[in-house]
Amino acid sequence: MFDVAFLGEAFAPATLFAIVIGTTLGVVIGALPGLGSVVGLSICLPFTFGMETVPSLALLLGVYCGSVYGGSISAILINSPGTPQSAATMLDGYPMAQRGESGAALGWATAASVVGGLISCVVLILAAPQLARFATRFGSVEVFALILLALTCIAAVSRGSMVKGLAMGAAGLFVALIGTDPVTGGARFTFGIEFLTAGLDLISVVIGLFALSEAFSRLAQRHDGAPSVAHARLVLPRLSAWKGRVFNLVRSSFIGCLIGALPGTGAATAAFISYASAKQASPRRENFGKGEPDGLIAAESANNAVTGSAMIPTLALGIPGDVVTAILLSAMVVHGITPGVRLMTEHLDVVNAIFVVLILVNIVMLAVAFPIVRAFGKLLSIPEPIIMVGVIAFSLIGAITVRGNPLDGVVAVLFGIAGYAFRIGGFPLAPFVIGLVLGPQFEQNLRRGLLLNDGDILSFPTASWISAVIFAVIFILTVAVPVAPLLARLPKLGRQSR
Amino acid sequence: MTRSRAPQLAVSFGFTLLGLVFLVAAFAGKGGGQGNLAAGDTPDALPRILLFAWVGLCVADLLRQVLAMRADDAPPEADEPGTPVVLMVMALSLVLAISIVFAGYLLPILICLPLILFMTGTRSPLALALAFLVLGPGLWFLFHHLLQIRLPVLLSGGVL
Repeated sequence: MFDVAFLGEAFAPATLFAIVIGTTLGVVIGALPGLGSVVGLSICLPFTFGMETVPSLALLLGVYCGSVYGGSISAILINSPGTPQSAATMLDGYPMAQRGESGAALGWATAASVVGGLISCVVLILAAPQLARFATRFGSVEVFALILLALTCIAAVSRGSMVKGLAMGAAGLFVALIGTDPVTGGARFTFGIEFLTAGLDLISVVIGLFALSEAFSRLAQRHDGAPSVAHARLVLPRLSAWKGRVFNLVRSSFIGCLIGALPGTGAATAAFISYASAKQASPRRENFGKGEPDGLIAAESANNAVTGSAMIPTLALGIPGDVVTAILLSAMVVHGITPGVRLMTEHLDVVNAIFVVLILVNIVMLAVAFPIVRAFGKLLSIPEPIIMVGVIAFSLIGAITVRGNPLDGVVAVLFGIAGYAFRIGGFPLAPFVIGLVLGPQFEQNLRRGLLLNDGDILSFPTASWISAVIFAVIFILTVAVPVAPLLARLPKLGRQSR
Repeated sequence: MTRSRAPQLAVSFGFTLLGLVFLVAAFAGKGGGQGNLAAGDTPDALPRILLFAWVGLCVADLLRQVLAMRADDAPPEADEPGTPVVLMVMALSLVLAISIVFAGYLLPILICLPLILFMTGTRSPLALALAFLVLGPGLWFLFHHLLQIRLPVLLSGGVL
């Protein structure tokens, strides 16, 4: 019989409270320029350590979904996206606000965000169990290949060059191996430091790389005073106003779902692709960029649709598609849930509760949007340096409370400085973190695969049809795609030399 | 504004050097034991492969950057190096984190937080006092006492 015990957990007072607080914090964090989903999750992590599994995930999911939506508030009102995901929202949102229609623009963005988020929840609920069922066929070699593919995809689409992305992925995987070898129990790369035998704490590294380095980076940039915002009120569009726009809403949501499920792409990409697609299809395309609600609907429904679908590979395969889902996965690890292809079978109650929580978060988002929009002017008056010093304080607390070891705070600051340097060097941070999260699984499956295949790593691509397909895709991404343009240029170069 | 490649090159060089240090350590150290040699499985095998990939890819990237510099191409998108203020904030954050190891959370934060706030440009006495109270003792009280998430203390069972 279908077990509905998870509903009790999802509707427990602690979970509902966590959803309201998390979503409110998320919208506020998203609305403030400079803080994004990753920083928001990093500074909220320490609050979850004393909580039960489902309420803690509810808080983090609230922060995640809320922050993606919250970015639209500053994008519309001050022409500065609170998060990169909302960059496409500016294109039509700010012109509407300049025309004095800020309330309507916020209303369109809110409604599209909520619908996009809810559609992605449905897609997640339908797709994740199917993918998880298929994933039960995966053995060690297939999981190893899948992790390699995920890292390759993330490196390929990350900011900066693919070579840098791959180097960061390899470095992340390596850093995950520092500590005690799981098979022999011997110490690796600890250099005699006792603290390192337990390995580096994932959350401290993530907090350092993202939250602290973001704070350092924002403090390094000179910012003028906070922009003033006229009193804004959110006005939801009437039902009749949706005439001729529903198809755009549904199509954009599905574009967001599709892109969100791919590793490494993310909400910003989804929003721009959806915006371009809506512009092509809309009968009002000449108004795009001048304050057209269709553009707002396309951008906001797509970026919020990513939130649910990004959870598909995370929950079904235990493989995070981006940094946000990597943090969520590491929060699960703190609560004793091991990520992997059997996550859905071994922790079905938690996964089902997550489905319900995501739906509730999107509904709560609609309710909390009204007061936050009204208070936005006051929120903006907090000087950015104070917010960033707050990020530093929260980050330190988060790092030292994960394992109760103050040395993790030192690790977080060192990785914060490293993250700042990586930003200057143009090295993408996402492949490093994904490598760090997947490192133990990667090694475990590689070594088990080697044992099963007599130590012959070259036999991995032919171990099964699934591994053959995955390795073929990796080959195409790493060799064929970069080499093809060079080969195409060869005849031209030959003609030039003659 | 013309962007300089020097900071990017310096970071790439440093990252390569770090990988090289680990690579040397991977071959010089005792490693994590023998493992299952029959299956070609040793604790050092994967780290070595990853370190070769790390260093190899970084060297390729360095070469690409040097060639691009010769061709006078514009450097790819990246953050600009910061001001001396941010370097001081980084140094003070590191001092704060190290102090917490030895002196608990509260004392170092009471000393370092006003300095960081002042360095980052908070000059108004009211804003400085409010931010200090909320982010310093306020957070300590919230986590250590209200949420019962224990922060490091100087003396076990003590107030500080």
